[in-house]
Amino acid sequence: MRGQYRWLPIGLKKWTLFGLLLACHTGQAQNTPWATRYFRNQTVSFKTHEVKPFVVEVNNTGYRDTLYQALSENGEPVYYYRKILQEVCFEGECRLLNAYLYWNITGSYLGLELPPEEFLSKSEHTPFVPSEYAELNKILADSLSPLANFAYEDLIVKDRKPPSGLDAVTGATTTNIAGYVVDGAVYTTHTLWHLVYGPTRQEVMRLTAEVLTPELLGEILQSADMGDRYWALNHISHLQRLPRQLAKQVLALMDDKQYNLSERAISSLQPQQLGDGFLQGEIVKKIDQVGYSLKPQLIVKLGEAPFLTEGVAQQLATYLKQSNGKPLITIFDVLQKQQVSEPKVLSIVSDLLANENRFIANNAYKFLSGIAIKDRVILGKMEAYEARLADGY
Amino acid sequence: MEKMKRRSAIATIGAVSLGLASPRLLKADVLQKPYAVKKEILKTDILVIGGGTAGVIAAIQAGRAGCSTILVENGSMLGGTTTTGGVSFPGIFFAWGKQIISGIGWELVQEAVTLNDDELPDFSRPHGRQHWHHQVRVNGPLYAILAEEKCIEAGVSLRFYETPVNITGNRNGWTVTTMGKGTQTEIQCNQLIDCTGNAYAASIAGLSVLREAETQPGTLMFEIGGYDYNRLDMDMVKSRFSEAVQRGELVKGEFYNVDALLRSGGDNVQHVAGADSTTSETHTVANIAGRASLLRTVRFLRTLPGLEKLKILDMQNETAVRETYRIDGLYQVTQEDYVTGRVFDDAVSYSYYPIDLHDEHGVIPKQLKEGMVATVPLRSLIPKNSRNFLVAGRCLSSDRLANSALRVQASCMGMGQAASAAAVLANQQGKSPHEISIAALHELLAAHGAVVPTV
Ligand SMILES: Cc1cc2nc3c(=O)[nH]c(=O)nc-3n(C[C@H](O)[C@H](O)[C@H](O)COP(=O)(O)OP(=O)(O)OC[C@H]3O[C@@H](n4cnc5c(N)ncnc54)[C@H](O)[C@@H]3O)c2cc1C
Repeated sequence: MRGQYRWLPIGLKKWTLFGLLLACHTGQAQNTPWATRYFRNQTVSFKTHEVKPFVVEVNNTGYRDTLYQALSENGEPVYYYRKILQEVCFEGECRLLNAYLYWNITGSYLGLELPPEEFLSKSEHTPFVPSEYAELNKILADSLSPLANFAYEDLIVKDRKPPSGLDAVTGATTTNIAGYVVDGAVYTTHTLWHLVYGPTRQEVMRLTAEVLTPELLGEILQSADMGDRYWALNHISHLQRLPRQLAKQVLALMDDKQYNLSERAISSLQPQQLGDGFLQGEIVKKIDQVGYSLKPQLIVKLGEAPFLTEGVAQQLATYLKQSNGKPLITIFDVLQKQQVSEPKVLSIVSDLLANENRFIANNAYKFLSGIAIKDRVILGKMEAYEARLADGY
Repeated sequence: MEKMKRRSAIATIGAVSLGLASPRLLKADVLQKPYAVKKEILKTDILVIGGGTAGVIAAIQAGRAGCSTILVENGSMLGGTTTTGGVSFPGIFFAWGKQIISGIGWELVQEAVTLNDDELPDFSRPHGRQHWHHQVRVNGPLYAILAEEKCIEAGVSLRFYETPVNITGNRNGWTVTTMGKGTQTEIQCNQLIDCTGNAYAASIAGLSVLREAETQPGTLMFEIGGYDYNRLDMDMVKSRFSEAVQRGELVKGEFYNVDALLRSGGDNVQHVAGADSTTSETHTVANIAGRASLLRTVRFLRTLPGLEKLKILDMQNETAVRETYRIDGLYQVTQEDYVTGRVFDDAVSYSYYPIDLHDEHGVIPKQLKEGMVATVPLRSLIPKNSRNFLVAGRCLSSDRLANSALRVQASCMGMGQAASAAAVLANQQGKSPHEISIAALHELLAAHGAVVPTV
């Protein structure tokens, strides 16, 4: 078994990848006698069938390397990985970093694996202990780490005595990043973090985006990772229409439990998708189910639709009866924008003219005034409102 | 050369035509009668004094609930500390992943964020010790305009540049005399909500107010630039700065952290001791002190290597004030109430922030324990021995430490909406706010999108 994870030849078939793939599917740290592996949860749960190589640019100097895409039997991407052979240097001393880095199909960090007998080391070449690998695994998963803002040269406080040995200097690490690096392994952490979030990540996302299908988006939306779900929502906007199953999944994300996610789910819906009567109907139902903050956002979406179905326009108008404030104003805006003038809707609105709350009555009046009303009953109600207003309400 | 000639030719033509036109222009210049101060009597259900963080929300709520509403603001735009003060980062609306303050305040913040293409913080990520990550940066001027639009939409009558000079109680509520530029107005209202941040209206209405022996400093918000922070020798800057403080060239405590000042290019980094915005006189002192401190510091910093070209890019119109007077309310919220997340029987809104008291050493926020969210009881918004009177905002009845957390903007917005809803019910039912049913108040608040505390 030893040596099985050495440099992977292009076009490997299933059986040669067995050990490697096992590591990815578990999503856990696995330290076998022959390799060190630390993994986060995988975005999708497809089984790997084959691996496809891509020659990609991996840093800003034009340097090219191979990025491997693991694919399922149906050709969906499962994860990506790269063999890293890079020197980590400090104060004239260098050591070879020999590892595999794994990405999820959304570009998030998936895991780190070291070939047999390889280990990461800290100051004075002390090897990492398991808890430090686990810490590194966590640090690498943090896409918002302050490490993003630190250049390699800025990692150590300059006026201190230079450290002896590679990646030393626990004490001299600039205080701003202490806590975001493995103690005593500043340069290794920094190098790996920047590899994870460097150009390869963009390539990963680009390659996945090229083969995105509604089914794959649906699968990504089921990921437990919030970043994965955001990624899927950001890519849903490219679809011309939302298949029903995917629409249901997106709608299910709209609740008061996860505000940001709900907001993103709502804003992911695009005008071209909103012509679908099913989707419109589900959005109207949602308005009643979510809290105040999300209601106007859902209503605004209906305003972006190319047209409103008659049923939805009526449901919106009916919803006016129980609305106030921003939802009320937004419904009127949408009805006006969609040029709704169905008799049933106008009749519901005209009833609001008699509302004892002048804010509601006033908004109803404003809406009706923008329409050439011919219905005598409605005109009568408008006159009554005007008279009430003249009397000081 | 060619261009110069052409421009001077145009100027000459201009002079000729002006010369021809001038006899007519002179004739248009008619002598006017002296301006007579406009005296008026207005009636309204609800009068809100102070159109700041809390007052704007209170006024919109009252208008939307169908009450006639007047909002008196002595400045020239709405938003108070959030806009005029430049503290355009309201917090905190979400606690432990859940929204705890919504309604009109959140609606405004959200619209300001959307219209400015800003992004909301990710509230599902715990903020840890850095609670400011959950504050929402908004475009201050945009917020002010949106607030104004919503007030007008809600039928609120806005009166800028006015301030009350006399407040007298009567059987139906209050008679408030306001003075403004060329105006003297008697406003007869049923319910009065003091949102001045200084309990100013409460005080001139004869209700008791409290003040600490030492109040938190104010801050003049500004922006500086013209240097590259990454190229500065910060050790040198820091030591030269503290030498200047020791020599008395700079004032100790004004800028307690020169690194933060330069790193952030201004913002919330200055302390103006004793800043008080209650009266024109005290606010003038605070403004002059804030501006003099900035000028002094800019002059000094420009003498240091790397900062020779430092310049002021922007500055707010006034020094923002943290703490002045508070009402002596039916109940005073204590620090203990706050940090233990006590849910009062008459709780009307939530509040979530670390205990955040600024002093001459800066501030070390004390975070709440996991899961804790404080509440605001209606009684803390009602002055003792009052009828038809409420406050909202930082001048609620609370001890100093509780106030250091309660005063933040989201909490003020929540209070603004709650106080106003209470005033609406009191007005509709011919009662005083302390007599209304809390259940009915919760219902009205929920109908207008507020998050109502539950046990
Ligand atoms: C420097 C600084 C930093 C802060 N940092 C934060 C922060 O990070 N996050 C946060 O959420 N909060 C912060 N706060 C606290 C918060 O901004 C304030 O406590 C809050 O905005 C107060 O709201 P308010 O409605 O009570 O008063 P204000 O917003 O000040 O409104 C009062 C209004 O009343 C008007 N007014 C006053 N007197 C009269 C009068 N006599 N007649 C007519 N009108 C009058 C004023 O012009 C103003 O418009 C900070 C405050 C300061 C000063």
